[in-house]
Amino acid sequence: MNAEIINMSWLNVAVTTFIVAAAGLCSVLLKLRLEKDLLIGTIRTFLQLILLGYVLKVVFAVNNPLIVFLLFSFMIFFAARIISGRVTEKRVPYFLPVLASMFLSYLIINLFVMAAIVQVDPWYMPVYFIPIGGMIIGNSMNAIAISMNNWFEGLKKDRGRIELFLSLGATPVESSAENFKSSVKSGMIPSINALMSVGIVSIPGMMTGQILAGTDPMIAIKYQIIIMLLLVGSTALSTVFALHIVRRLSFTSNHQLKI
Amino acid sequence: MHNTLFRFRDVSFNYPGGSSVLEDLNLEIGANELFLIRGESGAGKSTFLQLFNRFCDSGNGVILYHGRDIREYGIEKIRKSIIYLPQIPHVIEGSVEDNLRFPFSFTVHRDNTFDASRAEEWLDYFQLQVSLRDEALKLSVGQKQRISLIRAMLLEPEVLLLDEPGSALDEANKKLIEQKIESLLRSSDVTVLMASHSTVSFAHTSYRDFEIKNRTLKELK
Repeated sequence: MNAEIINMSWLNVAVTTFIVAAAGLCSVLLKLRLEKDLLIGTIRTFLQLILLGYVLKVVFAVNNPLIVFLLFSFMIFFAARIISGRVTEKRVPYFLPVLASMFLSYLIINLFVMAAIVQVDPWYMPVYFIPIGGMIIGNSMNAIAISMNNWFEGLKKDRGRIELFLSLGATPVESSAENFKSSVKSGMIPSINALMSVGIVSIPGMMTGQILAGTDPMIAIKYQIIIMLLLVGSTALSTVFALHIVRRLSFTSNHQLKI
Repeated sequence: MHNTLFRFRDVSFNYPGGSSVLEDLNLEIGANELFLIRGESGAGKSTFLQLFNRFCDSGNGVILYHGRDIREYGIEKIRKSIIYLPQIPHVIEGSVEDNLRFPFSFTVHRDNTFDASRAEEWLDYFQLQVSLRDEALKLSVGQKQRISLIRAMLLEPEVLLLDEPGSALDEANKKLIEQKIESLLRSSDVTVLMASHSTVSFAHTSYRDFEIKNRTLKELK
């Protein structure tokens, strides 16, 4: 392997905007009114990724654990912001607790991967820590949002049964045991389904990137396998942590349902 | 007068950030009493009942239960001895037996065990011609209401809070429930607080008759 990597010029990249322009033309002809979003989206993609490129270049060059940690925290903070935008229930103040549980579970998993699996030295080597952390955060962010929505919808739908259980002496945990299970499940199922279809339906994004950048596919699949399994673990861990806290916040200390 | 079970001292309730629902209630309720609360819908009858099992917590004033502030008891102890039955009976998926059995799986009832023959006796008592194996969701509202009562009685509560048990029922079923509650009071030590929108017909038992109006409680006779 190891054919030379084609380093595209910015001109090559810019040419792809013609393809976006085709999408814009469809939008105009079919009156989809997506032209503005397409334009803004394209500009944002350029700006955000150029910025990311520079940030990563600096972070990789500086190679300082504190900076790696700061960037990692910043990513988690934004993931938590995205979750609270997607979860429709606003009466339970879950932002900080969920942020904390995300932070804890991602840190545990990321450190484990760095130290025990990839075995990089130093453990915080940003070339590994940041991209792998990003994949873990991005995926389990979706899982947490799905499971939290499932949780709050379940509480509303089963309010009658839950209040019946509470009125007969059940603790909050006992009264919502089924809801808890189904919410954790709903968060985990997408990453389990991904295990089933990976490599058959598509070549996963990370592997595609590595192959395009010249890595031997047999090396790329090892990373991909690690990532896939990690995602299952991290979605489970982070949804259980987050839901555990959210469950406590959904009831008062007098065993009343808050929402 | 029976032994005092509950004593209210200047009890008020308002929803957090909301307007006041009940104001300055002062009353006493004795053990084994039948205590009726009437009032328009929305007058605060459910809220009043839920002060007893702490689904609602009084903002001001004190509720004494056996002479002690009700907030000093563990919430489990309160829910074990004071059982609230909502207006619309709720049954879970499964058989009649599943419906009567599930509370025994809660930690608070771990010292009790479900006794199927006791359950059968209660079915007879409430004149329910159903078997423990029947599908609970297929029962009529009147039957579900009685299943809810049996479910509560199997846990041997000290106090029953009945929130308009007759409201969803036809006249015959309503009368039956009221008769059964009357004889329950005579054959056991249970104390019953019952909210009612309409008139009730308790022929054989003396009861205390109250009305909630303008956020306060008034004795009718």
